[in-house]
Amino acid sequence: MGLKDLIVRSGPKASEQYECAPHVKWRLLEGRVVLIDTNEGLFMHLNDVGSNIWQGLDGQKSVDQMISDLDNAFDAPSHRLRKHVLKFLRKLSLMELIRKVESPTV
Amino acid sequence: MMMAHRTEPLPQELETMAGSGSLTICMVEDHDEAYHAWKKAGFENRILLHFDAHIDFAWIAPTPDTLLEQPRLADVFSTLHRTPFWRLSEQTEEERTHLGNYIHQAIRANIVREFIWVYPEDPDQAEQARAVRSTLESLAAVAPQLFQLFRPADTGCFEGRIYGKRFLAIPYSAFSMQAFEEAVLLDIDLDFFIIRSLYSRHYPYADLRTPSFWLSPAEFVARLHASGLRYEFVTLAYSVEEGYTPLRLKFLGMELAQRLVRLLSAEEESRFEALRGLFSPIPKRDPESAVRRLEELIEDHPNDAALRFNLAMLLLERNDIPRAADQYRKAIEDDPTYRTRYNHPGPALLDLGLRREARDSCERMKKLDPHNPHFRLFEFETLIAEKDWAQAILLGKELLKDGVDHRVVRLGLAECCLQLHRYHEAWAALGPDPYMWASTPGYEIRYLWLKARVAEPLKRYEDALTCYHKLIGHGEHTPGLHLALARLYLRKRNFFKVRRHLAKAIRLAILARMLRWWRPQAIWDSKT
Repeated sequence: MGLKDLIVRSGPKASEQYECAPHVKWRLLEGRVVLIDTNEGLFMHLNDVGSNIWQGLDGQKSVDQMISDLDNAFDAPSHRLRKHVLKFLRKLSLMELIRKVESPTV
Repeated sequence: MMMAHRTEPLPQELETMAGSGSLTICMVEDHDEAYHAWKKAGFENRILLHFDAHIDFAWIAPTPDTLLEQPRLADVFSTLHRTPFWRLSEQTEEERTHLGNYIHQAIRANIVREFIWVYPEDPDQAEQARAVRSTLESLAAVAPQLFQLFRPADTGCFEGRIYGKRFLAIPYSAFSMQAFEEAVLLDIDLDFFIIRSLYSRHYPYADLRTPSFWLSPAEFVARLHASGLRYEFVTLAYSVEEGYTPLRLKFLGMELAQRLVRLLSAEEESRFEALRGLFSPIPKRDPESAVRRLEELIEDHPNDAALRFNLAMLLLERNDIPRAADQYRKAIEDDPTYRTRYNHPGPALLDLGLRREARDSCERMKKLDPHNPHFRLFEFETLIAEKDWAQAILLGKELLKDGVDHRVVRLGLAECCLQLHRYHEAWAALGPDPYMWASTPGYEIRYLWLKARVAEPLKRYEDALTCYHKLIGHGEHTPGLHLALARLYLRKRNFFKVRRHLAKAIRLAILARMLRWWRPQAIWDSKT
């Protein structure tokens, strides 16, 4: 275990695509995402911004695209939005609620 | 529990008209088959009168979908708050129905709108009521919002509400005081007649070393008729296969069914009386005359397996092995269900920790049926109980080679190999698919624990992680489980999860003792 491992886990990159992990069950209720991590037995609900980000995790859009979509939807400075989205995605990734979509090798 | 739902209809002569309405009697081996019979018959909103030495009610945790199906966010929180037990299993509630919880499922499916449990009458009423109260309170403690238990009366009657539906637990003596304005679903377990004291050290079994019954079917039916109770559908469970009803007393079920339908002929009365006489303590018939009487009856009824089996047991007690073996052979020819794992009290005695008595019982039965595969299985279990791992491995492998691919063999073999650090053999014994043979929740949990413990030393970390996650899905939250998860996430360098699981392990280790003191042990499954 070294510094490299920690760097690898440091967070999602702008070009990467993410999707919801298969063991996570979720539903949109009254504009908010309610989710259950069946692996860990955890129930969670997200706020408006979190729900918006979660719905963008379709495995198609890159993190960059998601940020620009949110930039249009929310009235917040771009650099702050970017920082918060990346931090949120990192946490979701550490909790294993989302997984990276591997791009097909050419 | 995923199991074959087998319903044995009575012989045609018993499915007859009784009184003014038609009476259907459904005789089953495992009591949960009653639920499937009610469902098949299309019953709704009925009063269930459950005569049993066990409540057969345990909570079935809902699936995550139940939570996500709620229409509003407020309903999600309210459901989460009201139902403090969740099992994040992929199996549906229906699939998790077994003989310890089928009444829960019947209530949820709206078959039952009122559940009345009639428990056996014991001379020590206060002690009996205490045992019942303890069972009910532990059920209510798990889900206080779903099971409200009101203050019990002095008579041993307990009233409450389960999912808002009326619940009553009453002793046998109080049942005739109840007035029913409609026909009820009559649900009887044969162990009601056999297990008397719900607080005895043998419970949930009867005292298997001296099988007897405290209530005869004749008295029961007479009281039932005198009470004016109306019933059209009766489910009657033998419960031999789990060891609750000793096989020698299985005839009580047939007697009861026949009495519920019609009056017995003098000849039938005398046959059942002879069988019952074998178990009554006073006046005890001398063995010689009991054997003679059974032999006379067998001459008239050569195909009666109950007579032959009981005669075989009497002869075995007298060490007359050739005659006993002959009667036993004829009994199992007439009724193959008499060649069961539970045709001697050994397995139940082993469950009670009475290893010497269990082994003696098995050795005795072996004299009659040396090639019965159930006995080798029993011997295998005994070796494991005695921690003779090497011998158990040899016997387990032999059993698998002979085609006895029973879950007991696979799990036992894996455990023995694990104890001797033979991980590859343990992995092979467990096999690839847990759901092929690990059909009951208990076995499934044991399977997952074993597989995870074997996977770790074999460096199959992902497999181990999957098993531990499935265990969480089964409601297993122990410090050991979270510690193991922390260890595995450390290997994956996910320090976020390591911290979380370590914190959970520590919290659970500290709180477990306090929780045990604070509220009674939750009964998830009252029987299995």
